[in-house]
Amino acid sequence: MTALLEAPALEVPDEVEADIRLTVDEFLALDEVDGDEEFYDNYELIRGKIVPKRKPNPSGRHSEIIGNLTFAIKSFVAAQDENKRGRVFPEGPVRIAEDDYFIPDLAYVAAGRIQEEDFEGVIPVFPDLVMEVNSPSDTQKQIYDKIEDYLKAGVRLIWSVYMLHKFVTVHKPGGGVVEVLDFNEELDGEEVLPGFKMKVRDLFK
Amino acid sequence: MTALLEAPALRVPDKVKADIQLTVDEFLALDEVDGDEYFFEDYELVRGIVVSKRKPNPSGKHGEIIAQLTIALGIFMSQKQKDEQGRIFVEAPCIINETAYFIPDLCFVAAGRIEQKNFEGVIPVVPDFVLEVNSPSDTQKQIYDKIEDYQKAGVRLIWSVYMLHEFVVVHRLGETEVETLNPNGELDGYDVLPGFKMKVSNLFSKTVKSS
Repeated sequence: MTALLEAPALEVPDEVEADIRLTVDEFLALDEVDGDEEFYDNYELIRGKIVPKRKPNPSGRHSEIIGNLTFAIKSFVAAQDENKRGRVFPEGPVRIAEDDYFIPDLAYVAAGRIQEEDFEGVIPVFPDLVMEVNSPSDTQKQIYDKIEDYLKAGVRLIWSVYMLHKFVTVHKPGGGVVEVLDFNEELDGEEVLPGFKMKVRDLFK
Repeated sequence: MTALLEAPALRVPDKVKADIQLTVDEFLALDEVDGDEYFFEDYELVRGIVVSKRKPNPSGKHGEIIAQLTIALGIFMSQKQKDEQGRIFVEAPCIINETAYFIPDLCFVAAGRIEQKNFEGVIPVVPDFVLEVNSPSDTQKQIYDKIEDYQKAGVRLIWSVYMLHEFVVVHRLGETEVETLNPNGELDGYDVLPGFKMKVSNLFSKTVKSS
């Protein structure tokens, strides 16, 4: 049981064994998850493995970064013409692959891609833009694999924030090299959010 | 026992328990380490905890990056006068502080700082420059803490290589913000290795280029 989970905070039903790999369908069908209503807000399925999204030592800084970017993007989107306004989801779950149920720290879906005004559960399409604020306990491999899976699913722009050393890596499909932005450089929404700019330093305000 | 060690490859004496924090002196005094001659080449002491330097899945890429920099630095150094050449160490142990015995992937000590021609065991001074190629299993926190410890000890320039996405983070002593180098960027030795330049992409190259 504990081998499956990286943090012991929440309980998972006994039927989930350490060596079992699940599909998202199986994961979402876990029966009631021992009555934990917030299970699907707190756990991800990564390449078939259940992993807590909440890290052992959540930091205020982590959520502050998400808050800063959410506010900046929301303000930017609100100033657009109505038919160009995409939708912004802080910590909204998405189905990225058959065995990937991720909860990106922030996701943006371009205008017109979601038909439903309201929906239950997962965001019904893969996002156009994703930001992940890497936790201190994340390994290089975990960060790398997740970005690879996002790109494979068709996410067009990924901002991967390294909060301890305060820099951001930028990832796009097409197999080019990554771009690394240090504290004094600027995020650019590129084709996904044309005209959106934000200084990296402002993420850490 | 296994909680203490990240890789199960080597044996550690029973007296080293998972919850024990050691000083470097205590670590180095570990008696014979069950006859394992290579123990002090394969394990580090990080903030008092014994940690395997050899990672669960060592990769050729890791070693190749170290080799690329070693060759480039060697060529660079060979063009200097003998008394201006510093010394380059690959995977040599250093005592960084009372609870840190690190084995940097590569380090450099400026000319004249080491008196002895030959010495046993650890490098007798804190290096001026360190290269660490971060392993896929390293966490952000592990990388951060190690760099903090190096800087507190006085290491003037650190190149922290992210080998999966192929970029480098540069840590200069006294600078509050890090500098990041894209795969297209260029490493600079600054005042530690004045005049030394190397393209980041050459670290990941499969052929040898002289800077």
